[in-house]
Amino acid sequence: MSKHDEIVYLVDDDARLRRALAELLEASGWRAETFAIAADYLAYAKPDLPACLILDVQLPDINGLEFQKQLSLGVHPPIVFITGHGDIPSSVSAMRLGAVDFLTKPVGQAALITAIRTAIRRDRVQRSARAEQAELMRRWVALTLREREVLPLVVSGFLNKQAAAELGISEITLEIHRRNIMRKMQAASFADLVRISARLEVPITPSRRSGAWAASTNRVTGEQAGSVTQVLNNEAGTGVEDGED
Amino acid sequence: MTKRNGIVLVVDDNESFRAGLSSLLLSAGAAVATFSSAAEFLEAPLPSGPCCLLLDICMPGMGGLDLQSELASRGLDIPIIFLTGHADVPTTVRAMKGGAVEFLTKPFQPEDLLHAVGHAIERCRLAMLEKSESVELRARYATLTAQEREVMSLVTRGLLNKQIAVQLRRSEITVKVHRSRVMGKMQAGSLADLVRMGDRLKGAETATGYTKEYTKG
Repeated sequence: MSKHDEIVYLVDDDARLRRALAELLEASGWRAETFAIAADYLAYAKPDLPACLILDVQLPDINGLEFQKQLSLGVHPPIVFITGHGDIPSSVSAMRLGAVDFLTKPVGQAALITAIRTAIRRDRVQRSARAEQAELMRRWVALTLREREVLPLVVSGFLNKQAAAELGISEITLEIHRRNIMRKMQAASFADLVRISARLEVPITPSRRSGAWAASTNRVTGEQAGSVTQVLNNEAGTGVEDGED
Repeated sequence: MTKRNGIVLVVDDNESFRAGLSSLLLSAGAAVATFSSAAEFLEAPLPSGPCCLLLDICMPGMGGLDLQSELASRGLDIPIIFLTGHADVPTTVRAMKGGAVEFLTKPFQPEDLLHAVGHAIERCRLAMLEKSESVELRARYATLTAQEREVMSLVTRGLLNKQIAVQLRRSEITVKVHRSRVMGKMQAGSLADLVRMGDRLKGAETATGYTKEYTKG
């Protein structure tokens, strides 16, 4: 029984440890890829599989915690630290940045296996969430610039007439945009569209009718990768070309 | 920096340490309450405003980590900063896994402590704000009749009035009346508002399964 659909990466400069852990990992059913330096891990072409990353704190080319900070800027597998030089501030820093565990050498087999299982489980959840978000973003990107202006108004609770006035277009034109948005976003109902917009962090502007509630729910607690606001801040005007105004 | 109205709760069995912490925090503008043991802390009423907990690890009776677990099992989400003279890595990791905001070993820099306290109190303040909004929503929802709740559920699922009428075996006019009462009682300015409120009540911030759920249309 092999779980070769899950992969464990290991970066540690101790060759004997790499060999020993690789054997243990393979025996436990995981595919293991080991590296002596962080740069080799970065350069490795990674398959699209649930994974975790085991890191030492003291690596030849970079401090493990510094490496964790750099990785945190992007998407990376959950990290388990194993180290011979475990000090408390390092462990606090590692855990604050989201490490699954911080184990001191000699590392107990059971503790390591448990940590890896937890890490891979976490990775599956994160991968699933990212895939969904990417799908929603793909649909949003297919909207025209005008449709992207209509969407926030409509999910903020503006009546068609109000939204049309806001954009200086006719109500009929607005209704056409609205229908196209529903179709392109694959929303089964307006309620669905509201939920999809929330997932994409489409900005909610309080309409005259909606009052304080709409404003408070727009409190974005963190920049979600693949949010509309992020895209809007990075790339202005890259919508699909509009046929009509 | 510590915020106004933030209370720091200090639990440590060493009296002079408690006194020293107290004066440091007071001089930084925080309100302070001190306890000589976990048991004493657990018996005291919780503050109503934003607060955070400064905990020692090693205390006679219930230790800091056990108090952390106890608070978690009681559903009390007070941000915790551990301050200790004796610690090892596994203890630290356990504290962080339990959700500690910071873990400082003595001797520590006063600025590090004050910085951590500021963060913790702000975190508590935001969490309380979220919670009070939920409390408000639940209070409004509690005023809905059973039929109104049924209608609200179907409306936020995206059904049209006439579809709801068929499903509930009522007239469309009745459905419209219920719907308008729901909007009023929930203080929703639009269907979009109501949908968000409904999701909020269900605690629906689930990331997974979303695309599958709505594409089955």
